[in-house]
Amino acid sequence: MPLAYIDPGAGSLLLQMMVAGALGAIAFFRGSIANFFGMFKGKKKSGSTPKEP
Amino acid sequence: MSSAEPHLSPSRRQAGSFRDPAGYVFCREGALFRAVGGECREVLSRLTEGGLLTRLMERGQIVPTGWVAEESPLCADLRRENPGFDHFLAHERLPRLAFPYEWSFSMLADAALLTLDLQLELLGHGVSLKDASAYNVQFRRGRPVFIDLGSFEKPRRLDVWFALGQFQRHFLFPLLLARHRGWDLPSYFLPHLDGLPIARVAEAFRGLGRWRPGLLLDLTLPLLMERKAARSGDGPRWATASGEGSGRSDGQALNLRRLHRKITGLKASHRIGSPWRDYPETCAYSEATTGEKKRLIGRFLAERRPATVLDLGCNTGEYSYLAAAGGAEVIAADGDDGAIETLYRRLQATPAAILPMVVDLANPSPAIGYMNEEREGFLTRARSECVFALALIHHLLVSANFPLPAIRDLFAALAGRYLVLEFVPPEDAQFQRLLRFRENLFSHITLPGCLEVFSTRFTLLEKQPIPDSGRTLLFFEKR
Repeated sequence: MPLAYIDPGAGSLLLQMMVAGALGAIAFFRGSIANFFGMFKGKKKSGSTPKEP
Repeated sequence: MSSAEPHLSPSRRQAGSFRDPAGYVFCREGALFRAVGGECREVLSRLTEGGLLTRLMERGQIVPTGWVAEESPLCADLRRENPGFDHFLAHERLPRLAFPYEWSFSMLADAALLTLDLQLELLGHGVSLKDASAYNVQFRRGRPVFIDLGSFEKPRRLDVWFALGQFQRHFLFPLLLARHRGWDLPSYFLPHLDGLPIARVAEAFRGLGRWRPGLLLDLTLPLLMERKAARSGDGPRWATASGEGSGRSDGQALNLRRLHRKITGLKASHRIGSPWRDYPETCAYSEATTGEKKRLIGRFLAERRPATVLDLGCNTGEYSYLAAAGGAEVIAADGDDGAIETLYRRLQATPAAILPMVVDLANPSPAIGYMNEEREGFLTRARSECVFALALIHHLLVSANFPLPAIRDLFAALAGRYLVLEFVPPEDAQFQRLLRFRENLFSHITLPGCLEVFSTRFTLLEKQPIPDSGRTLLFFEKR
């Protein structure tokens, strides 16, 4: 791996990349996940909005 | 070490500064400079403009540093003497240096915490440490200070820390081995310049012990990944080191904070187990005697005003504090890591110009690394204008089996000018305590005999008996 001039330690680097990948995936899908749950919450909230002037 | 010129020019490259191709440290007419390549300069300039470097300096986290002015004649000289480099930093020189194999447990832990604090702070500015070597940290007045500004870089990815593996080898592994397996730091650091590889560390934690939660994320899982990567050759396909990653740093920050908590915990749980810890309280001296000894040494310090003092067998540093109060830069050396740990903790509460070091005088730290020049040995590094050898001579005679002339030559090698020696006669209770189960080969050791042996290398300035103790303080000047 050409990005560190020192020995990065393959194991800990791979583990970091795996965690980073997982976090990245969560972040990427967060919008869709929020939308999914939003479908249930959203109905209640939308009912309350017309009351405001 | 590609360039030969610095040896001929006034710019002398430091022997320990050659691994990173992006720059190096050199000494010129007593001042310390760093040549920095283009990329590193950009990063540092941006941090200077943002005020971060000044803040880190004010907090004492990095060594005081400034740019050499671009248009100055000095800069022109440096450019001529250091081909390939256009930009230079001027570092403040630290008065004394100690290396990780001479630190106590808390010193290593604090150096680790400083490295993590810096990485966390830099990460917020899109910058990262490209290495995490324990040798990038030194100590001043009992506080760790980061010295390798050439290590600041703009990383390709922010979601992983490429230096994490080195951080583990230089900080976490030795702390874990010391805490859980009773390792000492010289055994870890002296034979392994870059620390132990993870597979070797794992050998110390076998069987179920390796699956304890405290080791899982830093030892067990990385080891499994490493083995898997070694088997598959190129490593897994998802590991795209050359990619940009997610560009987010919060995952890394989470991990850094976890490591911070873990090392803080290790430090808090470290217990000092040392017979010398309570020595000042339990030793043979009465309070009045100690007072008189301090008065005599204090008077000598006030008269001679040594700029540097080396306190050998310093114990918990009573006399180191005395020397520091007199304005000296002090190295406090003791073979017992419990004593040095105690002194280091004392420095947290009462800072002073004292550098504590764990050193066995019978086997002082050698010069190590490339050409055996990368890290200077203790004898050359610790040389001081004045050497204290207080309540030490009986330990060297009995425990180390040094004859008197050998002790004299050791002190002569370390002392630039003065030696303050406390002569302890064989009848002394502490001397006798060491002789338990030992043949008494020391009945011939007398004060006149000692003076005669030392007279070949030292001139006696003053001889002061310490009342009610049978001991004598001898003040020498080197011939």
